[in-house]
Amino acid sequence: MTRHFTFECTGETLVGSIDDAKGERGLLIVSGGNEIRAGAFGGMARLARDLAASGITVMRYDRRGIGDSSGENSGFEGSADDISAALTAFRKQCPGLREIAAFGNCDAASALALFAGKAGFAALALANPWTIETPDNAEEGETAAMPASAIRSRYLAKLRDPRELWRLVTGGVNLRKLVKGLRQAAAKQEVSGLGERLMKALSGQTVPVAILIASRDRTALAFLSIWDSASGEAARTNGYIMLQQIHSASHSFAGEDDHRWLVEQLIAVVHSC
Amino acid sequence: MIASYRFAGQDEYCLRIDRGRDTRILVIQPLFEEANRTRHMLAEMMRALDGHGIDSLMPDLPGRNESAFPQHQADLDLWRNALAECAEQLGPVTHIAALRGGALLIDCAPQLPVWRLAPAKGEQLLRTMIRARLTADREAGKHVTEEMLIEAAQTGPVELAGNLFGTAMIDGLKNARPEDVLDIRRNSRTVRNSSEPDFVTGMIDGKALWLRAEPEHNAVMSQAIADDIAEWIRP
Repeated sequence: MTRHFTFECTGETLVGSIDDAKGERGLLIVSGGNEIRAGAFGGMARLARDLAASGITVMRYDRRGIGDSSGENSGFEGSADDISAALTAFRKQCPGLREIAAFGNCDAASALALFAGKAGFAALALANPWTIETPDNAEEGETAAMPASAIRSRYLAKLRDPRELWRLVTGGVNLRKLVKGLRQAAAKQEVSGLGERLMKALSGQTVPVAILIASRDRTALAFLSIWDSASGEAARTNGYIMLQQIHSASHSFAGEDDHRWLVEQLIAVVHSC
Repeated sequence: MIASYRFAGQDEYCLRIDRGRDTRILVIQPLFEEANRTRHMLAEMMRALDGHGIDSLMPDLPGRNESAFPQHQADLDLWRNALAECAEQLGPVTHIAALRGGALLIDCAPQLPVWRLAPAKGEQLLRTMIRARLTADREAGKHVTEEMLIEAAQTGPVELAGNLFGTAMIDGLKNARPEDVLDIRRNSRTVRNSSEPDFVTGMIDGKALWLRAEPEHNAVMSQAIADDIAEWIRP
């Protein structure tokens, strides 16, 4: 049975939810984007129940300015205090837990990589870490360009699909968009400030870190191209870090197979504490 | 702030601001993922109602948000019953505030005055979710049609835009219209979002938060809704 409670962070009231289990290990789930603690499609609530059924106590929370919590939303970059407050609250709610690990997807993974060191988790699971910054030269009204590596991968997949080739031949494809996309795809991938900061933070981790990758997810592809570059060398050679990949395009591990894989990986990370 | 109500043998989460005052509003959220996108705006709206001296309750519908109730076993009638149970246990409730598809459930307490924002037809909500499912399938290279989905729903739960649907929910949504559950004699006020082309009795300023891709906040909308409700209750 999930239980819900409030806790304090810089004078604001945050809401957390815990699924208790009999074991001595816990996992704090940090939400990505502006998503509420139950997750898109109730996915995080379900994940927490599944993990608790396997003996891991799980906490989720709404950071400031999100969901039921009060305060202002400062995005993942401003979430360090929320992460610390959540861990403190977790320890207070479940004093019997010996080790607490943390899991985040997308920009939550980046937040954990950047800020978790100060908080003091026993292990980290970072899924499809977010490395994308809005380029300064973006056209007005244009959202952040998809990283070149992700565009290349997407177009390659489309060109291999015979249905897509038929669309191209019969005029179903917007040629102007296609040319623009190909030009972006041909551009050399540049490592953003966030990418550099992430690699530096990863290289300095001294607890087990599992980087969980959905190998056809665009966010993950952008991360991998930095990880595989010269900028990622110190992180790659940090013996505390293990990269695990699943062959999937689902950014949030949405399918049944993806969900099962994620649960297995998280159990493994928690037990590596 | 955190309360629960009992339904179908389970405790369901209910966000609550209750200082024992005379006016207590049951907030019926938008349905499905629109609820996620408007969650923070509504929580802040409840805090703004508090500032007006008004209590409020916003219960989870079984199968939604924190609820462990099996999604595919939910349908609109079950949701109406759950809301009635919540009002019974955490009330007394004096008014209802319903947004978007929440307006399809206001007959959970047909005698109460009701405030509605941008009421949505069940058919429209269903159509949007079916389209999302078909688009996702086509992107994945699967050849699926709406007919195939509806047929599959006859024999088992169908996933549409991340939610699991039984045929009772699908049929219910197809036939549910906000006007059908609003008795003409009932004390009501309906407002529309200013980004919509037509309006009824008033406008709330702010983009259609429930149509955005992910949850966002709109502090102006939270306050405007609370102000409008407070004004309507005590003109």
